Amino acid sequence: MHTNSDSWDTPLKVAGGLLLLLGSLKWLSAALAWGTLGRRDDPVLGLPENWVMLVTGLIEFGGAWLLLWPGSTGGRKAWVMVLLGLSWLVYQWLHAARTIGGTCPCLGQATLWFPWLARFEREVLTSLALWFYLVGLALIVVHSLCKPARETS
Amino acid sequence: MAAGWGVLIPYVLFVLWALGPRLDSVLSFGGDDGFELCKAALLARLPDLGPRMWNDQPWLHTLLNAMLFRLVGEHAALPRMFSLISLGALLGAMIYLSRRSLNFAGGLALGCFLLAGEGMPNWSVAAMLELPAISWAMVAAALAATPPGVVVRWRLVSSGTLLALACHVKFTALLVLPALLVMVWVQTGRRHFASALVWAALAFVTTFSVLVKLSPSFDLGQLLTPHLPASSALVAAEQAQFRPQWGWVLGDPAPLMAALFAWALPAFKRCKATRTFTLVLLGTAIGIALCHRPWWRYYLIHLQVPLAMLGAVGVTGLSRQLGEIWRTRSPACHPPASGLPTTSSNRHPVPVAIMGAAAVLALWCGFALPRLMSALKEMSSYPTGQSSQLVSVLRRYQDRIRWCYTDLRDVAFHSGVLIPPELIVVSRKRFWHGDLDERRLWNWVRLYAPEAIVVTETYRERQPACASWLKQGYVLCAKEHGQECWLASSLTPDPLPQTEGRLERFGL
Repeated sequence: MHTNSDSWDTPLKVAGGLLLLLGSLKWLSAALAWGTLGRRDDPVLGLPENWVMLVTGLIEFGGAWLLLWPGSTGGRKAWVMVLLGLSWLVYQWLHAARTIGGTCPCLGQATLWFPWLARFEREVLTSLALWFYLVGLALIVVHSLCKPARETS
Repeated sequence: MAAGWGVLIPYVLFVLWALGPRLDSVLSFGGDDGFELCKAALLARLPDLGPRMWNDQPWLHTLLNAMLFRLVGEHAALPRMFSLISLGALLGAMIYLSRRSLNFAGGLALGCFLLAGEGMPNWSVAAMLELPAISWAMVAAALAATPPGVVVRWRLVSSGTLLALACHVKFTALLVLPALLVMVWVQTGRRHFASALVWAALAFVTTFSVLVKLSPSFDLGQLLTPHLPASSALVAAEQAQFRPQWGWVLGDPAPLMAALFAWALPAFKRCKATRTFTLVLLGTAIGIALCHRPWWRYYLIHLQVPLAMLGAVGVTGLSRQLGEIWRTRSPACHPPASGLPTTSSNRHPVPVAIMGAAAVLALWCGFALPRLMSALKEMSSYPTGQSSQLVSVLRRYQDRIRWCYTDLRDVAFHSGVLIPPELIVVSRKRFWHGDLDERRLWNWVRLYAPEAIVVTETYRERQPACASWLKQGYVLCAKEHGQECWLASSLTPDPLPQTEGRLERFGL
């Protein structure tokens, strides 16, 4: 946002931090269980899961870089959040439909390392995707609201 | 007022979903549904046997249902509708208690938080005592809520009366008492507190005593002892397993998250009495959850009520702030040179409000909504009286069955047969406190010589007393999901069809 970069950075920083965490979980999982993951195909993309982890982790690191990088405008960053949220929601929905209620591997092997997380894995992932989508959308709305104000000033 | 309209949306939608033929025909909506239905049916038909009934709960709910059964017939829908009405009263009381801190979005959130809570859809339509008790106790608290420094005598008297009525539904209604007392103290101040207390206490004691007189029995030992921890170490260890699973509370993070935002809301800060009431209620519920064993799953209502209230206040704060951003645009577009932009009411910084509102909505959609949907779907597929083979067999001989012994009280009620008064409530609590054991149970059964007995196959095989009694003149007439329906030979019943019996013998 052009309004006050310091203030509007907060949601973007939080989102960027979350993306870094998710990307790290995926890369760590791929590194620690490359062989095991390679024996399974992702039911949505049809590719070996280890490669899916690697590529999606890379996308998330890219997203984090975009959100945390001070150069680009807030409006574009908000769109990144909306698109990421939407793509996660679509992927989760397709995954659940194809595996009859299975949970997507979006947290990598984290549920094996933290078994308590497994109980609410699907709920956490849906909430996370929705949060990205809603915050992104809200930032776009605020950005558009402030446009006339900026032009006047 | 706007909050009232907000809460009406989820409540009316839920009532429209619940009201239908299934409300009457579903066998059971909750664990204790059958207890209440059978108790009321016995009292409606044979009121003289009421005092012989083993009953660890007060009588008001049973008496009211028995009266309704006598007036309009024995329909499971009647006590279940009472639970639905109680839920409406509870929502109304919650709205009234936090009326100065809620707007439309807050009211809507309150309804959504409470109705989508773990187990809540079931308890809202079950003929159980917990929800009506806490609901009418909350209405009593709402009646006592007055502006600071004002003592309205009729309201205090009504509050005391209603709390006594709620206590006669279930003693857990008293959970509201500490919060109610603190709220009245905060409202009236030290000077008027004693007089306020006297009026409310007089009404409470009078109503309570009248209801004791009207009850078929009032044995404090029977009412209190089964709910207390047992003295035996073995039983205490078994009781200790009945404790809250924190996943039930943490599995509902939306009201928790929203409650965090309630703190910064100036309107909530100003409403000292409401704030104190909600916090003391939450503290009491947490204290009981931590200390009391056995802690049954439906005690979750005690935690869900104050959390939904706090959460709704938080949502109100967030929604007001977002509304302000939308209307004025100034705090978002012209933030102060230093620090984060805030709205005029100086609550949360604008970005925090946006992130908070998105988090509450996302958490509710991610956690509560799927749980609510799956609960409603599951409830729509609960077995009904018409679909039960056991019910259809028992109904065929209903006129000639005086007594039926079964653990499936829902089956007995929907078949229109009565369970002996001493054997309606055969709960774990009775065994824990030594009031009953298998030998004494079967002595009661022999005494009544019921014409129908419904037990599980495994129970029959494990209990020699049961097997030997059934051998003396009973015929196996139906079998469903491992439950066997045995009818006395004197009824000359049709035995289980031969083909099915042969298949059974071959284990098919």
